[in-house]
Amino acid sequence: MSNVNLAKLIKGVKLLEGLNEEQLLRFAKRCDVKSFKTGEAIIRASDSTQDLYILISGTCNVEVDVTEQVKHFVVERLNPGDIFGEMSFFDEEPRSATVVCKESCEAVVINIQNFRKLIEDEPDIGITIMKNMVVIFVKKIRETHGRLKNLYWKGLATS
Amino acid sequence: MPEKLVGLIKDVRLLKGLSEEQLLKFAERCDIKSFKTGKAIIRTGDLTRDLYILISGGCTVEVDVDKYVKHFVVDQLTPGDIFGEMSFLDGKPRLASIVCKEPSKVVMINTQKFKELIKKNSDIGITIMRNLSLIFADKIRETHNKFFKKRDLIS
Repeated sequence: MSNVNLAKLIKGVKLLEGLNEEQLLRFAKRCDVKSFKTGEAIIRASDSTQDLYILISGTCNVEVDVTEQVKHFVVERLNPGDIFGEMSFFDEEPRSATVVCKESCEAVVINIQNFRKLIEDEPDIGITIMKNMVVIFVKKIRETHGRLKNLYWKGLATS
Repeated sequence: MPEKLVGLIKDVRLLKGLSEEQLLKFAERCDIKSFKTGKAIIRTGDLTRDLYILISGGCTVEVDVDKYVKHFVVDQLTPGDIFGEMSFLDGKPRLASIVCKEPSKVVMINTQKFKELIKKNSDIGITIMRNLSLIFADKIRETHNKFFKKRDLIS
């Protein structure tokens, strides 16, 4: 895929909000696009990989193995425009969940080294992406907070 | 004054990786405030947007679960911890109250001043945002572990 086409695909993605056409193109130069089949795991829990993904087409489940008996517990659903893999991308810890394709999917992959180089070489892009990133994190924490509050009454969040 | 402030904040996780000079630029835009025991520095629902770094003392993070279960303590803050970072970034109402368990001192930065700072100094902005991302990733992992460990006990 050409960088121009890729830039078109990633336009409108929350992580890249605020980047102009020219900046999107510079960003696209440092990315790859990968296709996955239904049922394929893009990321597996406890893997030591660190790439960041932007889902471009298709949907995925975020699954967690709770116990030996309770596996593939779905904690979240991903739609086009969503990012995933961002935690290990930053803290280099093993993946905390598995991301499985519910249909044929396409994702933009950003390698950690490429990203570090990007924010070093092109801080104008770096600052915008990092700003969007922290806002995405905040949104996730607020959502989790809401969910845990609901679970309070089910006795799951208390002990 | 900013020079003195740098001494207080230089080992804080949020500012890791900043040089003395960058710390000074950050410190120039900060204020120091002291709070008494029992005082709420932030209240749930408030529309303030400052970011705080706890310098001394200790606080609890309290959530009102509903109108019957109030002041449910979800976290404890110790010196070096930051708080208020969520509304600081997204402008939504405060999610929790921060209450001093002892006399506490904080360094605070207003979101507007921070925006000015990173507009002129994207290198500082990137470093702080990276540290923030790490702090968030930690928080999410902690919650994840707490929650799934508890489920583990139930099943």
